[in-house]
Amino acid sequence: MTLLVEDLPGLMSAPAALLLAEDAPALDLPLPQWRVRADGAGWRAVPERGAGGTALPLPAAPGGLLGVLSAGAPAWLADWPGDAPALLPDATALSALLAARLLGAEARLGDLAASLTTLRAEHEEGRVAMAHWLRSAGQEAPQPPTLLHADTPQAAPGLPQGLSHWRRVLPLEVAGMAAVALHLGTVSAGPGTALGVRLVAEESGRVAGAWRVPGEALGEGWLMLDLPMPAPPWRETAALEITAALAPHDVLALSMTGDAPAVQLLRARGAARFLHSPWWLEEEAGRPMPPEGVWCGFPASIWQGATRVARVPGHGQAMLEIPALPLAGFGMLRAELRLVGGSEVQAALECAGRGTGWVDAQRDGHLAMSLAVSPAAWPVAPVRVQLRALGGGGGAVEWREIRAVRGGS
Amino acid sequence: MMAAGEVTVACVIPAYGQPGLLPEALNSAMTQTLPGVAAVVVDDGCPFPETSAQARAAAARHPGRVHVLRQANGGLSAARNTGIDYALAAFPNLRAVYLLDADNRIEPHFLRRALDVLEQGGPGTGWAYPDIDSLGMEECSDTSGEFSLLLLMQDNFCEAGSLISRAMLEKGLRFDTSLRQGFEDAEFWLRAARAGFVGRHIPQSGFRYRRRAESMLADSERIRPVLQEELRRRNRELWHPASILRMEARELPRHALLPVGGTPAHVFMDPEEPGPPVPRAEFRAMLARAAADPASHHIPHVVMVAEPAALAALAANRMLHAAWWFGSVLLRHRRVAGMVLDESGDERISFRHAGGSLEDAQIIFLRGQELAETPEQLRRDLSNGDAWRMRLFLPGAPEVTGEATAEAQAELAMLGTPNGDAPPRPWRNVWRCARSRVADRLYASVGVGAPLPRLKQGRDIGIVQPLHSRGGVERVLLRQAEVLRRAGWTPHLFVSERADVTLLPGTRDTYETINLFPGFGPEGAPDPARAYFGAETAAYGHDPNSAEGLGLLFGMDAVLITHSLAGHALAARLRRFGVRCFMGLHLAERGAWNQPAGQAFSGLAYEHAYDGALVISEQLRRWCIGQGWPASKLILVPNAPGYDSQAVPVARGTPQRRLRALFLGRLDAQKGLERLTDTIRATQDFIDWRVAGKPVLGGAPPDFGVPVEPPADSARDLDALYGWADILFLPSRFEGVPLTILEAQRLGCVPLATDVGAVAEIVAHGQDGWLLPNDAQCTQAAVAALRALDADRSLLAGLSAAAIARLRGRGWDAMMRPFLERLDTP
Repeated sequence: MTLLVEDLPGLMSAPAALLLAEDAPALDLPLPQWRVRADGAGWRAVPERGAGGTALPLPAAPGGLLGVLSAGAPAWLADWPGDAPALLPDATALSALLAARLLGAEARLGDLAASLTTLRAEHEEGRVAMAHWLRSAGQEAPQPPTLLHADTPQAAPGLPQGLSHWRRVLPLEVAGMAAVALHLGTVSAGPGTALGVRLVAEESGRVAGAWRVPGEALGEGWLMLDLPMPAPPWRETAALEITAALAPHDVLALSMTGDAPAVQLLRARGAARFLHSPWWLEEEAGRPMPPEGVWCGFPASIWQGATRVARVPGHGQAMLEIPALPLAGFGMLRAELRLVGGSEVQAALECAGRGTGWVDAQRDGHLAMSLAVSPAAWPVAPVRVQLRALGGGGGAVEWREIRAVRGGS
Repeated sequence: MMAAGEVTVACVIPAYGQPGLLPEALNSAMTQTLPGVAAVVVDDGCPFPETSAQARAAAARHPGRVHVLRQANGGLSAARNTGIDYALAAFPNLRAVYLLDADNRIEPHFLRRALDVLEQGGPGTGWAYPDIDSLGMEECSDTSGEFSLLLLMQDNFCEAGSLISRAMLEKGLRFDTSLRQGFEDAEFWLRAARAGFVGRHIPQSGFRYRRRAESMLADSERIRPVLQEELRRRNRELWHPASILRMEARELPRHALLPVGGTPAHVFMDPEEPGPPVPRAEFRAMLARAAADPASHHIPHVVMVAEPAALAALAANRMLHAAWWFGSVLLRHRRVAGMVLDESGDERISFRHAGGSLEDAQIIFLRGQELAETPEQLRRDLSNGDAWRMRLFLPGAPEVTGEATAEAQAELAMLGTPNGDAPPRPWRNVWRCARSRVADRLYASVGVGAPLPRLKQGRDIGIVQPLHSRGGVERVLLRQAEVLRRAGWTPHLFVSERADVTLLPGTRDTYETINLFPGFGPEGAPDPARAYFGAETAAYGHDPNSAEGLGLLFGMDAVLITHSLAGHALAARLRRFGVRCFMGLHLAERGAWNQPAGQAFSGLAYEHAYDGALVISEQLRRWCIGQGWPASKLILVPNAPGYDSQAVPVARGTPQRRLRALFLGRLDAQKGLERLTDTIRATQDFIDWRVAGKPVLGGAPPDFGVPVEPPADSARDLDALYGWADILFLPSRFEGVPLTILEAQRLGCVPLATDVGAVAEIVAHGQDGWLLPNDAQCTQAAVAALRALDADRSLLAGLSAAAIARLRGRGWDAMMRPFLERLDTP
């Protein structure tokens, strides 16, 4: 006879649970319990607390089941899938079982602590050895890297004002990558312009290298972006993410092959090349990249030191600010605000020299703004919302949420 | 707490013996960037309590996301099935199930990417599979490219760690719990493919497969041949060569044609369905991709550079399929091969082949993969004459222009020039078989060589015969083939033992394709060590070249194998592929010392391999039963005249002219040529003689005292001969049911023939013809009979009228009815 279980997923995902025979007392314990009752020709297990919902046949023994609270062997145990569970005549028997399990868990915890101590000692020795090795390896002159991949630049179209973004998956593995080069055509750019490049290990989404080059450092020809040392032996596909933020009146032409920027990639042996690139973003290396196309929130800690609510006086201005927002990997920001008093207030979102311009609040007081992220904001940048009152009434504005998404648009 | 309704992807993790590694697998599932991921841990009766403890700990840490089931040990497949069943039942909004082994891991974006691929893969997408990046023993294996079932049959590149759509699982597909030694995943994907689902590759997925020196996989690899055979056994339909052929056409077409003149290429399987044009630049790009990654990108195995006139000549002679088939066969012997088409000067097709230069070839064959990878080597082969050269004589061959060779050279030179835009090789290990070679490996795994590249359109029947000349047997088979065609069958001619086909009137109209065995093996040779009661059996049967013969024939629904030792050698294997095999028997011959000899005796050694046999006479049917053929396997198909006469039958009267006698047939010893000579010499004073025919089995004919006329082929010439003669003289030492007698009778020409074979079944002595003893008295009896007929012209007139009456209504359609009925009976 089949045993039907209401809230079967609850039973199967409970780390510890009890089944109660029809006449057994419920226990006042923080343990999920199901009572088994006769149900027509079969049996049905119903949660003692909470709604049961649809009943499904029990497919296998629940992994977290402690036992069956029952004075005798219930008839439905005859069809139990697998080894029969422990029969617990009363709460005392359950206590004994839990005590045994507790002792076992503590013994396992002791084993794990001892294993962890051994492993940590081994790990520390490994760290010390690695540090020694790096110091001694760094005494040698950097070895010239080997060219792994080189595109032939076909054209160098001038970039439009604002942000441009490309993503390119390369038929190369990340392991040992020593430098990335982009080819630039005409360049006339100043500090408002920035070029950002990330080398991503595609499978894990980890950043293997990131650079931010200010406009004044850009020149025609191959722009070599060195990793401080060859990339770790990650057997993963290399992908490049290239973002250019072009300031008004600046000129920057990026050489292309097909519809992607022409690149070179160079490899070196581990410990054969240590170089410090002035544009290297130490903070990004090794970080996991957020998933593509998913709007991500930020931890509550970003609001520490932030100005989240501001009052805007009539005909006056005010500012909301998050002092340090981690923007590594993101291409777009979205801020949501709400007018909590007054009316006729406008807002403008700003980050790393870029801004949305003034945006009106909606009738319901809701205010949403999106802004593409410039490489100048990598990896961490302040984000501000300028506020101004159009009339004499003014108002109060609360910064409700800020989210960001990976990708360039 | 995750509610069951929030779960969209369930990671089913069978757990047995890996408590130390299980938390890693669980953690990788719990840290996916895709929302709605739950884990279903199936503790498969693991003897270590740590396993369930670890699973419970994970359940406590991830409320509502880790579901733990425990069952008695049933093996990996059973545990997966339990997890799948549970996930389908417990999670109402489930979209897919991922199979994660307890010692493997997935990177955080894995399931998001896998689900994207699965749900955007198009109709029929059942699962999404990753590249296989090993942990521990580092090795990264590429599995990219379009999904190919053929490739999957050759190499299981779909990891068990694949994401499976709910739709596929709801079709009831589960792992086979009887496969406990490994390859259960391969078997599962093959079954899924048979159910109409396809897989899709997940680029840059981030699947980490733990590879250790000893593992379940290492155990399976040790018995790989046994497990592979088991896979084939369980999937016979897939490994049927006809099924491989259909998949080859759909997934990895075998042929590419580059017509001389630089016009677009065509990629196809069946030369009669050449597919859409492929611009040359795109074809070169295909080559470049196949060079960079042969396992992910296909290039046809046989690339033909051909003059259109040569293809037209082949098509006109029904040789187009055979020519492409020869391409596959010849390319086994060299990287480059070619055909020189030469005018045969008469209605004949023949060939010779050997290593040699191709400067005058109208057709060049190049191995596709090597064309992609080493075009310079092929160019040198072509320049140096290191090629396989087939000289094909046929009517209507085009003139030699050298254009095909020049175009092939130019194409090879262009491909050999370094090109900076060559596509890159994948950085992962390319371990799978090159796509261009997959199909041939699969054919080979079932003992079959290159397939006749014809996609089935109806009911095909192969007429297999050792030679195709002017003999009576060939004429009978041609007439039978005509009837088969009228009845809805498509007949194909296969000549097994002679590289020579005489095109009789009707050959090209009747046979859909004309094919010749290639002559690399002992096609017609007997095996002296394996005679059956002294009768010849085929050496071809245990020669590796017989695989090519199977390749030619496996696509037929039925074959009629007549007097072909090579055909007999193939029959049992063809029957295993579902081809219905019938033997054609015409006579039980005698040798030079009157010993039992010939095809009927050899056929006894192969009776077991056939579904039935066609016998042309009641006498032969009884002979076969006597020799042990089951009577119900024998189908009596009596002969009828070998051609459609245009003449009106005229009973011979009593003209006041000299009697006219005719010998018509092969000028071979079997026909009693010395009896003919002696009879002519003894009767020339009162009879006008004509002799028409030529030797078939070799040797010059004797001097008959009259000129020998060439054999007649056309209905008009035959009508003229039978209309001229009063008497057909046939002093054969053995015969079956000679067509000439039937043809002569039909026009009132009286047969005077030895009483051999089943001649007595078609000649009633003294009523509609005259029978002679088949012994030393034959000539004397013949001369006496001729004198009697000359003297008594009314006797001649009576025999003539009776002969006409006997043949009235005796046509092939009526004779073939029993065979057609047998063919229509499953």
